[in-house]
Amino acid sequence: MTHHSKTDFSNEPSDAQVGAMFKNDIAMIADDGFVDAVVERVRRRVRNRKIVLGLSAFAGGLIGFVPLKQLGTEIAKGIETFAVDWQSVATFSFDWSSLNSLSFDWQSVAGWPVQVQWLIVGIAVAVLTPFMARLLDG
Amino acid sequence: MSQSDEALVARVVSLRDQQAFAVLVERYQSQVRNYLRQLTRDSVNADDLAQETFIRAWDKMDTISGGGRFAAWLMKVAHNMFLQAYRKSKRYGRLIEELEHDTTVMTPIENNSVSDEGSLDMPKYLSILSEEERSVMLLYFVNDLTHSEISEVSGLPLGTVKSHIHRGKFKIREHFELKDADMV
Repeated sequence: MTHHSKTDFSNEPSDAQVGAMFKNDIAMIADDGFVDAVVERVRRRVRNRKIVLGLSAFAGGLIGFVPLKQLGTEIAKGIETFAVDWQSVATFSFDWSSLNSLSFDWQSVAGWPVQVQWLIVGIAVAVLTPFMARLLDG
Repeated sequence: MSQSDEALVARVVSLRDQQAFAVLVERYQSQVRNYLRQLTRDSVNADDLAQETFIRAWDKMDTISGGGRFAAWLMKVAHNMFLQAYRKSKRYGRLIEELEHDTTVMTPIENNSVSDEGSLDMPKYLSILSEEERSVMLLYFVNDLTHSEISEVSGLPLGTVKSHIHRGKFKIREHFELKDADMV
């Protein structure tokens, strides 16, 4: 007794037949500058990544430079005190007030303090960098 | 002697070697473009998608799992690019339709804003297959992927992949029988 499924695949063409048919009709596409176009885009992408990384590092430096410098000065002062007089260790306190100069001085007649200006430039660069990279990627 | 895919991929991942990548693009550009051309029916769109596929491949090459073949992984990227573009075009198609209904425009809006320059004729036996069957058949017969690789690429269960191939072959046989009958 023979069983018939809903769809009888017994007479289906062989893989080799169909494969040959497909490969005959779907010809190889010759490189018509496609490879160069892709490689050029990759090259631009790599270059843009480098620019973005450089700008990000620059922005990070801008944002961090002033406070880090002040922190460094305070730590150096502390080390000095520590080295000169052990007794002063007990009384040593970090001079946080020196960091206050970072805060925005609304009373300043001459304009914004230098630290805030650096900070704003740094943040602007950090925010704009990804957009620039996008634009450059095209 | 030409380097193996694995060696080239390793160079791209570890050294970001652009020359090795160029060799891979050269090796697979035809397969990827052909696959996308058969899916999109438009050579211009297909080539744009193929470029995006290779750019994505450059970015994500380090995600290739150790045992997998580069060809299968690349076709998966191409397939996903097609699906993304297809969904987007469907969404925008709907939006354009809604806009056409909502606004009263004096000049008629052309439905098909894309030029027909790049549109392709499909081999007859491909046009009788469903979208999914066509994609599976192309991956199997043109790109020489295994059943399990196709399952991985398309996200279809292995059984469905096998049945699409069987059904596709069956449809092709029927189609050719019909042609023979017409000719008698």
